[in-house]
Amino acid sequence: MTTDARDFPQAARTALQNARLQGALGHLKEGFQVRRAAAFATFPIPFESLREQGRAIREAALSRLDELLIQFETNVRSAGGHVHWARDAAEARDVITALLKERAARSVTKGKSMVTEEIELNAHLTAHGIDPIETDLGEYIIQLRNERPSHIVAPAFHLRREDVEASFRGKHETLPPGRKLDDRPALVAEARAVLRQHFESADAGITGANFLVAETGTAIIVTNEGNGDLTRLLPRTHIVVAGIEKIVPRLEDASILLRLLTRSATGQEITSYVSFMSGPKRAGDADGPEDFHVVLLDNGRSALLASPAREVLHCIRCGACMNHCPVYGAIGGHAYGATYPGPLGAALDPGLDGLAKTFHLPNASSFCGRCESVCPVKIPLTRIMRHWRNESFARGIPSPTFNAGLKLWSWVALRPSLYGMATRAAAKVMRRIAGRQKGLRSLPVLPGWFVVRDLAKPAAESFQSQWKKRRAGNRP
Amino acid sequence: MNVAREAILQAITRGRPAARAVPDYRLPSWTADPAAHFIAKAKASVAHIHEIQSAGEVPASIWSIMTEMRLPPRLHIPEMSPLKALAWDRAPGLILSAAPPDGNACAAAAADYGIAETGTLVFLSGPRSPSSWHFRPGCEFALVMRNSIVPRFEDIAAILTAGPRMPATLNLVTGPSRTADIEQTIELGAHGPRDVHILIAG
Repeated sequence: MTTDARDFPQAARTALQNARLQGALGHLKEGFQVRRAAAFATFPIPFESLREQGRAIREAALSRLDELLIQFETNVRSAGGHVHWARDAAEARDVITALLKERAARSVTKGKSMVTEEIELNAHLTAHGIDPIETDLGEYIIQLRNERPSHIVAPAFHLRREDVEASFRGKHETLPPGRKLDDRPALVAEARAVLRQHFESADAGITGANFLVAETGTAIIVTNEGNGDLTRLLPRTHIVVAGIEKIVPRLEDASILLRLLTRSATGQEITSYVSFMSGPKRAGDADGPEDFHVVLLDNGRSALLASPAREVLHCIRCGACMNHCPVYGAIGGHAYGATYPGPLGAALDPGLDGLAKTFHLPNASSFCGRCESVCPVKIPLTRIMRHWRNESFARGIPSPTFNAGLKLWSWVALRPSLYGMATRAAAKVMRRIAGRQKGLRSLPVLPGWFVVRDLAKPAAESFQSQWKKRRAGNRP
Repeated sequence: MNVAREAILQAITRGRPAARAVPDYRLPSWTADPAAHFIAKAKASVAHIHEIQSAGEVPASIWSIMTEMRLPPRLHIPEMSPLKALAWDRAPGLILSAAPPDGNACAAAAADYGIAETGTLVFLSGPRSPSSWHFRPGCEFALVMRNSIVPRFEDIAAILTAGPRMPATLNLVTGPSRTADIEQTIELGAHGPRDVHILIAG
């Protein structure tokens, strides 16, 4: 498995030949697309009207991001919490590790959080003698297997139940080896029991946030399992880690976005749990953390705000774009080799990790536009990918040869008669090679193309020449 | 980390577009009966619904459900919960506990509000209502008063922002805990309750 976006072409090829992965990807349609479509179809408010408001909320929030973050900070502080600011991943890791060390924390439960994946927090904590335990079932499974999430909402959807059973048998060493573990309820029950002990004994809990609300100083998390809540509520210390763009002005704005988020992500009208966390427990409260911190992470976001890719910051991380993407649907999330896969990743990762590392990702799109048509906040994903393609060309990434090739192609493409001559010649050669077969299985050039695809045999006459003839024939 | 704070805020101020307000948005006006809608949606979320005349019927109602479901006769109720004051002698044989429930235990709570749009229970943290109790037990009984069911979350937001301060934790609970993380197939009782019984009174 790759962890580097520079290896994308090879990783994509491997993914296409991974039969097990292909089986899992086959379920994207009934699992996500159908449920999402049904959720919006039965909702009395039209999707288009709701998502236009969602877009407007995100746009307004980003236009006042500085003011809203200060308002959020003031409100968290007046509730007795603390706000920390981190310019990049290293600074965020340091802030969190220092907070945990000051509290002599040894074990930390974690709610599902893509931003802690982004800053690679778990490896850092482990290196500092702190034991991070993922508590979302999917995240827990991939942590046991030392993998990365392959989807931002369903991190382990590429695995089968036999894989999960093998992982549990391997890692839950204190449980009887002969126990029955061959169905989903047994697996869920075992994870529930094992993780409950971790919740009870953890020194601190770390969660992400789906939204931050400026007017109330509130972090909102959305889960179906309840793991995020046990992560917040049982340990003494609760740390929220969130990107600075997560802010919205008011509770009612969050409410509109929640309606879009859960429907777009899993086709639910609402998840089992939506939790609003505003500071530590109050004096006299029956339970809750005594100690509450929010770490606000920039890590490239303020630079994106000033760039033509700004609107990618509207993203509410529902995953609909990847669920509907033909490229993601063919290769899954791991192949991208970056924190955020799919169309969202192609638009966002270059801003977070730099183009030199991620230039392949905005190219991994046919620009079919399905991602944009389902995006609940109307992010112009293809336009942003095109922006990164232009950037990478202007900066000579990946190589001068690649750019020279593009330049040659555009030189030819801008000269219609030359282009026509070249394509006619190519079609002739390809027809000769194909002979009586309908398609081409191989060619002496482009061997990579034929690993997973055939090429249609070109028609005897090109569209352009047929068109010319037809127009000549139709002339009065 | 004041250096980081100033650097981030300055970068945002330099880079952000001109400030604009969120445009007004009107949700369609609510026409359905909130309680009836709440019941339909809560059932769809796989919660169990029990309609009772008054809060006074809670002990007998819970006891009959527990007996019917052959649950161990122990019910956890938080120390200062208003439910404590009910006539639990109407549930003979039921043992009450104020200790935090474990993952197989049953617990009872009083919801502050219900939300009709999604069949959701609303719990505010406080001295009488520990938030973790909505996630610890295997089975939760929640009392909600019919007249505290509001159409939408926006109605709760209006109440909260008009008040002095948000509670430390506000929980929206819709049906039992669930996960689809293994083979995209829903299983109930991932970390929180497998069964949620809603008692609607009034």
